[in-house]
Amino acid sequence: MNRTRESFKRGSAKFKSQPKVLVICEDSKSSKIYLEEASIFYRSHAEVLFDHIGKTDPLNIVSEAVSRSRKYDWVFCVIDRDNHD
Amino acid sequence: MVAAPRIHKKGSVIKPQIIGESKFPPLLKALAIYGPNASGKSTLVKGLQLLKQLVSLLPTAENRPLPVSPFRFDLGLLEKPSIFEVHFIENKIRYSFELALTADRIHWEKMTLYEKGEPALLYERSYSNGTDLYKFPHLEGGSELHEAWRKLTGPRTLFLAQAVANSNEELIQLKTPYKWLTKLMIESDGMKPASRMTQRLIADHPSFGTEVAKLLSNVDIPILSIQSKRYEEEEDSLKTLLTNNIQNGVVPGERALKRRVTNQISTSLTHLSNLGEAVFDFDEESEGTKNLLGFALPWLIFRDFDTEKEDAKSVLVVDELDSSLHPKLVEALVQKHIESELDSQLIFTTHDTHLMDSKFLRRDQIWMTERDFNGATHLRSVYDFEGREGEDVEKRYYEGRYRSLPLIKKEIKNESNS
Repeated sequence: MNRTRESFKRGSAKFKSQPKVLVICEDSKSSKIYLEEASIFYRSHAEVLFDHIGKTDPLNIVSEAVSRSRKYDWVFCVIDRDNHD
Repeated sequence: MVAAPRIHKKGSVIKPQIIGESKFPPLLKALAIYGPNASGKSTLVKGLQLLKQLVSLLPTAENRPLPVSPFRFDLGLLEKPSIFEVHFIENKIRYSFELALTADRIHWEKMTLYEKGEPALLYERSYSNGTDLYKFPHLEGGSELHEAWRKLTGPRTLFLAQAVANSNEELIQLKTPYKWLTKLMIESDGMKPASRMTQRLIADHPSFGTEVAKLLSNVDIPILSIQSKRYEEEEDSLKTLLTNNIQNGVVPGERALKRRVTNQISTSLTHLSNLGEAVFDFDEESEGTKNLLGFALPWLIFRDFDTEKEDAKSVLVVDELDSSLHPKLVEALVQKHIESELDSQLIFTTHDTHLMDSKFLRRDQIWMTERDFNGATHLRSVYDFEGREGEDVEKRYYEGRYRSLPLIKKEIKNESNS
């Protein structure tokens, strides 16, 4: 392909840097393992921490998420609706 | 590879000299390519090496396949040619060279030069319906010569190589770009070939041994002198040994013979410590020292060029620059190149993230490869990601901010912990 000298110029940034993500799970087994597997399967390069924090009620999980949110771009909480009112 | 605008760091760029194109963007003097294993770093280097290999291939009657392999994950691409395109400057003229080939034959070949930025096609060869079709809109030599060159070019030979091989001194239009391709220095197979080359050079020019020893001692490998000799002298003693053995009824093993014949050179290195001098054989040296002997070659060759001369404007590509070398040493080698006056570009792959942290590589000099879902390679630089100059590149790399990190499964991590 013929190219002009302008075409060699380095443009501005094309990509956003990958976000830092925290995912807090309410159990340390199934949901944690499923999500870890999924992040590898989809080749997600986000820093994904699947954490079980020793607390299982939604309110405590969310308040933990809020207190740790400053260090991450995104924080998600995984809560199983069947088990709570 | 071109530099980004508005990043200032002393000595990091080369101002290209092209007749009629003073506003061509500056070029990078050195660039580092990072990325996980099996993400395509070495393939990238091999791709560049292929161009050099093809121009250096001598025409042969042998039915040898061309050294390319298709992208095997896509069945639709198995029969399709691999395409290469390279843009370069030689003798103050800008060129582009394009090539498409399968293992069976060259499918397409095109050389263009740029006059004041305007493309002028020197030749184009394209294969269709069983024949090579040629166009020579701006090529010197006249139609009779073009016809002869065309007829001489076999399916697995580059028109470029054939035409240059069959040109007299007056014909320079193709020789200039040909020269750029042949002087590419590419180390893709570790440093062993280069290391052997250094030893051969020392054998023929003993003073080169002193130079290499000096380079090694500059990076804290206390070597006083290096001597290499070719095996001819030893072969005589080998012959006597053999004759004696055979006379005594002992037949030497085939392997012993082969070893003598393939290792045609022996090198000894004189080390220095407070206790005095001691001589070591090359085989006794560490892998790092052996590699450095190889690295010495391009560095010393570059350095010996007169910087005004065109020969100094070349590209050196090294796969795994850090193989067996201490990060400090790699840093010193790269820094030495950046600070030199040479207008040559150094491209290397490495896992040594210490260099990201060093103050002399800019974001546009740090590149990364990533393997995608389909097994294809993506090459991006840190500059292509939103961010600012001065960000902690090494930290952000390990955080996965630029992707290009290996994804390690938890089971493996746990196994290694236990």
